[in-house]
Amino acid sequence: MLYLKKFANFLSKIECIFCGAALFVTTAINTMEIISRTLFSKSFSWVQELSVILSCWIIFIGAAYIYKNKQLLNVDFLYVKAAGRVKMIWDFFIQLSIIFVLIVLIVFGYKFQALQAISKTYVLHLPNNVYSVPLIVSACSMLIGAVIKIYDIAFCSGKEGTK
Amino acid sequence: MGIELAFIIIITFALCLFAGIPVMFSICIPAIIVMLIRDFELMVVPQMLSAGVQSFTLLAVPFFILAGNIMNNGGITKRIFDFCLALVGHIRGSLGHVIIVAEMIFSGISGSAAADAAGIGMIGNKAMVSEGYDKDFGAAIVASSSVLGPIIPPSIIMVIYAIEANVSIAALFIAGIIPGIIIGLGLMGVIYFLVITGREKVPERKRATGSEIIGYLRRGFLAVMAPLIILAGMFSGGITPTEAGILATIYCAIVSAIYGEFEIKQLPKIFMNSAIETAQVMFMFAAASVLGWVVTSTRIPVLASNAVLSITTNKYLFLLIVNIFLLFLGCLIESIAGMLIVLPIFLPIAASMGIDLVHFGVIVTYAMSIGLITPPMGAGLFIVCGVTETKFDRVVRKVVPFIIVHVLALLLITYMPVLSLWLPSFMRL
Repeated sequence: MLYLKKFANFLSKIECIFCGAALFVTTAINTMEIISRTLFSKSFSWVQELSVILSCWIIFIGAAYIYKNKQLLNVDFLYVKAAGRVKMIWDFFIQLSIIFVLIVLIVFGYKFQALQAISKTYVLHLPNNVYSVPLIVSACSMLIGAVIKIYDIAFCSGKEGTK
Repeated sequence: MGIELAFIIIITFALCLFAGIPVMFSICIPAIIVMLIRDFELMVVPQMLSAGVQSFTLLAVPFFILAGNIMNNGGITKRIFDFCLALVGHIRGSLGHVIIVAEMIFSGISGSAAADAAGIGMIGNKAMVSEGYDKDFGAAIVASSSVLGPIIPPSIIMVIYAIEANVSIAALFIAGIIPGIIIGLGLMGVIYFLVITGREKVPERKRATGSEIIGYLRRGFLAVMAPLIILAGMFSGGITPTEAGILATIYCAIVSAIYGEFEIKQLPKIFMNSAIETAQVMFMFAAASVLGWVVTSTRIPVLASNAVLSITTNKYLFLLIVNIFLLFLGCLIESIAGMLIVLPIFLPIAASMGIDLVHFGVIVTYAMSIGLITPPMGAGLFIVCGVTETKFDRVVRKVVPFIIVHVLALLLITYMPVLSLWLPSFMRL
């Protein structure tokens, strides 16, 4: 489990850097597009497509980072009142619910990307699953986080925060 | 069957939400359960999640977040604050008015209420503490003024509403200007009232001389001009809202570099933080697309519309119900998430009653934004309490008069559509 935790931390760092870099590239290419269009009346049709692809990756990979770093928005005014065993069971239920959604995303996301892979994007001619693959990557990354959290609930409850 | 499904969605969502399951999953779970009941293909879940964010217009969101973060790191916020101090610092209530006016200018560049609250909150609070203000009162002012962020363009929540409702982003942005100014004046009125009646004691400042004001304007001219440049670019039709976001980002970066308060080594952190904040907002949008698809496929909006129309066909009564519901919802759930959940149901009803969807957008945006400062889930309050190191419950007590004014302003904006619609129609948007 220690190795899995180390791997999850490493993954988090990579995800954060990737998202920042992707946002930087998106900003740079759109800036170039505006300058080019305004000054030289020349437009790049691939900029919009690449920007949307990158935004998909930023959103889904960023969500995985947020989940693993416990920054997700939630309504916890009831949860914080729980203590001891109740809190442990409660946490367990929360993580199971999340795992249920993640498994749906991974299984059906995989099927969906296989369907999308057949067709190509309009401008860059990339496989269309370039939009859906980040969702599967994100769900897998979140699943690793969820497994670690369940392990913490079961074996480290009381030693550190489990949620 | 539709009504039963609607109940299943509402109950499952409420259970998940109050159990503390993260909002993005709380939105997905009821959708998946209904799909299983109706035997829908579950592949729709990843399909809608992915399709929900495939929009170039939505790219405005990360850029406006980025602009706000650059402003906070590049000295722009400080200069806007100093200029406002010279401009309105002499009015009784002094720094309170300064924060409101600074927030109005700041909101004109940043699209993020969180960036607004953190940026102005940090600087405003420092100034207030050094001048001996009551810390809780100061925090309440900063939190209340952060509600202006989503109303005064550019606004992330408005971009998302415009895409959902299929209305012009530019028209919606400009519709928020007059309401934003009215709300700002209302908040300044509360501060003035609390000070002159002795409920709050604040030190007075002497009026800045003309040359002092000009001096501060000169120092912060580029910063103060930013909203005008960005909005002018967008409303002239030369650039799209997404490109306006890029323009805001580039402008803020250049101005910060000119001010010499921006270091290249800050950039990676700013980009990473902005990307993560974007994911926070946009994943909810994606999740809401799934729920929206399920709600529409099960004809719940039609049933809801029929149910409401059987109770009343009076649009004013409907708007009152919407306002009460949204204010209640805003107390419990983050503004964008809340708006995304109710829009598939409210929009068709509003349209069938002949309510202008731009006006409705301003109402929904404002009603949900008031939730930023209402307990127990006021995100604006949490941010401000974190930044100003104040206690949540004490700030809540101080924020009550401001909430009352916000609610009154909401009613005014709701029942006087001309306040929202005059400027867009004048500009032929």
